[in-house]
Amino acid sequence: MISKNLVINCKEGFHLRPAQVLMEKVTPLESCILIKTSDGEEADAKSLLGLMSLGLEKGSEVVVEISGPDENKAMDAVEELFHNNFGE
Amino acid sequence: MAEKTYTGIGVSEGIRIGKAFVLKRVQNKDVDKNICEEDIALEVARFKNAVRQATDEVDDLISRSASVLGKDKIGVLKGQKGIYADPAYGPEIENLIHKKFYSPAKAVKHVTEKFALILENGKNDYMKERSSDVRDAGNRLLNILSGKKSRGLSEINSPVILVADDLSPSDTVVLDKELILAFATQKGGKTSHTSIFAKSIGIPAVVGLPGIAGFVSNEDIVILDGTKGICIVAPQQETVKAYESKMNEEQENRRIFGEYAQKPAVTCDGGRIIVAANIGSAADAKYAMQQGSEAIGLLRTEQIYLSSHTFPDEDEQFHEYKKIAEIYSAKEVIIRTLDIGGDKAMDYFKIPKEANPFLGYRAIRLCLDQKALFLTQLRAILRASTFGKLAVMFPMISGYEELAAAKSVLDEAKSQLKAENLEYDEGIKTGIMVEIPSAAIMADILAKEVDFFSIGTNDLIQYSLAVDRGNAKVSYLYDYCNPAVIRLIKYVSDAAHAQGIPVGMCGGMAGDPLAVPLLVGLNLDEFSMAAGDIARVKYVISRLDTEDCKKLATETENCKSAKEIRGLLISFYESHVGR
Repeated sequence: MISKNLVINCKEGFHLRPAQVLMEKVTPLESCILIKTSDGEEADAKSLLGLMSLGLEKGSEVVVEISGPDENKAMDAVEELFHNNFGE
Repeated sequence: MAEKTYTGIGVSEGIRIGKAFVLKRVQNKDVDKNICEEDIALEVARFKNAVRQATDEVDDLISRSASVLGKDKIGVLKGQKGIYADPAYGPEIENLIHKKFYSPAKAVKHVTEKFALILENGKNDYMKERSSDVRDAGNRLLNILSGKKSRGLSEINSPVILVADDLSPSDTVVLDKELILAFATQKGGKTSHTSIFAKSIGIPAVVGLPGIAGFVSNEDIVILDGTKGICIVAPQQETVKAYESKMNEEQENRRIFGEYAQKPAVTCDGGRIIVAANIGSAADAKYAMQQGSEAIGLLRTEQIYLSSHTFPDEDEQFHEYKKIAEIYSAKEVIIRTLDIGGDKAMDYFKIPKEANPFLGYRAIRLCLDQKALFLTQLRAILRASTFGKLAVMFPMISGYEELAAAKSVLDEAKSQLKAENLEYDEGIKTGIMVEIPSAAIMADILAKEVDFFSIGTNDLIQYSLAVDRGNAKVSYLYDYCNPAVIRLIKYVSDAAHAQGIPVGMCGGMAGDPLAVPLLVGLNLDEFSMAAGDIARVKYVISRLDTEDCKKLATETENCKSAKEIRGLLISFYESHVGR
């Protein structure tokens, strides 16, 4: 299991479009990918509805926890998305 | 059956006669029911089946509608599929069935509402729209679980007048526009989804008809008059005949006007007039062009500010303006700087309550006071100006000093961009809306300071006659035919031409066919209006001789009342234009 602290930098927060980008990227991966917020909420990154319920704003820090056979590849992909603001 | 007439709000013009298709919402069973432990396995299986069926239904809609719908509309349907497959949706519903003994219907309703509310409280409009998609997805499941076959919109196979309680975006997305003659809904107002949708596809609609879905049965003959807001059920023969001839005349007119839409507007004696559109966003730009706009006489920028939850930054604005600039390319797009005030403020910028918001802190006054905000908008407009032919227009200018102050902020924005090596159109034109009487009276002085005027009659009339057109007790005074208003327009037009600058009009008067001959006679160079009015105005212009129009204008000079002037306009229209 690997985990990393990452920050949301999207202008309008983690709204529908970036959530959809993340969900579509991780759904084909084997590992389980969880997004955990600082107030103890967590969501399965493969669930669009789950991601939406987190209500993440610009500047929110989250812990991304990935476990599974392709966890390294998955973390690289997720990190890249965070860094380019989900293609904004 | 007796003929009955119902009156609602006409939100999209036109008359249609046809058979009704009544959309009835299925009452869902068991939404409050709990189940027994021994039935759990059965109910979970029932739920899973419902999901499979729902997914199949959506797939079927997508493949049937592929040719009719655009890519983005298919997205709405695909989104519903995504909800059924979402790991947070189905499993949570199953969990409620297992652990809390909810019936599938109760569990579906609970989980659907939970997510719909989260989206509804989301930070942008796109998320809010998706909340109705979540509810639609849930309703589809509930319908399947109820076992009743709902008479769905997908069953429409011949042209009908659609009667419903209300229509949601996911209802309208699946409609075959060729088969819908008109809409009649129980709920809704001028800005509800049904109205906006009907106008966007150009079909008549009447909303606000409480109970209508109960008064009409499927296959009943219905006459719908979207212009007058009337719905007639089971009309008599004579009524049908009367409306048929009105409808034919209207359709003939539309056909004739349509032929003029894509042509330039030229009077019979070769006078060229620009007919442009007033729009509120990039989304309206393409439609306006299709309706024949040769330019944008007014881009209202308020929507960008109102639809956001924080100040829209420079880049966001830049992208919006750039899109429009590119669509219109060499055709001019006049961008009006932020024109907002206490009556309709942004929720992230509270304006303290004022006794008189229309005479208060708004538009250019607000912008001059909030310099950072103003600079941001001007920078965005300037940066976008290299992608097309943009012009800047300041609203609510009351005089020379205000104009000078605004121009100096514009100069500052230009200097900033130069220092940052960012390009902008150095020849970008700057103008003002002439809507405050003091500016109209000083038009001769102001004409020396700008590249163009645009007369904003909506506010010019209110301020000049000291009347609130929304106040039913006094709105009879609000009339563009008032001689004082006509004199002001003439003065502004003459002052502009004396300085060699063009004068346009972006108020409602410019889109009124009755006023067109007078405005031509007053030498207006550009008429800017709602896209839907363009074809007819071009037609009217093509029937006019400039000299006749000038004579009309001269005749109005000695009129004492709005009634007299209106009389002159009506008789001129009847004899020279006709339609």
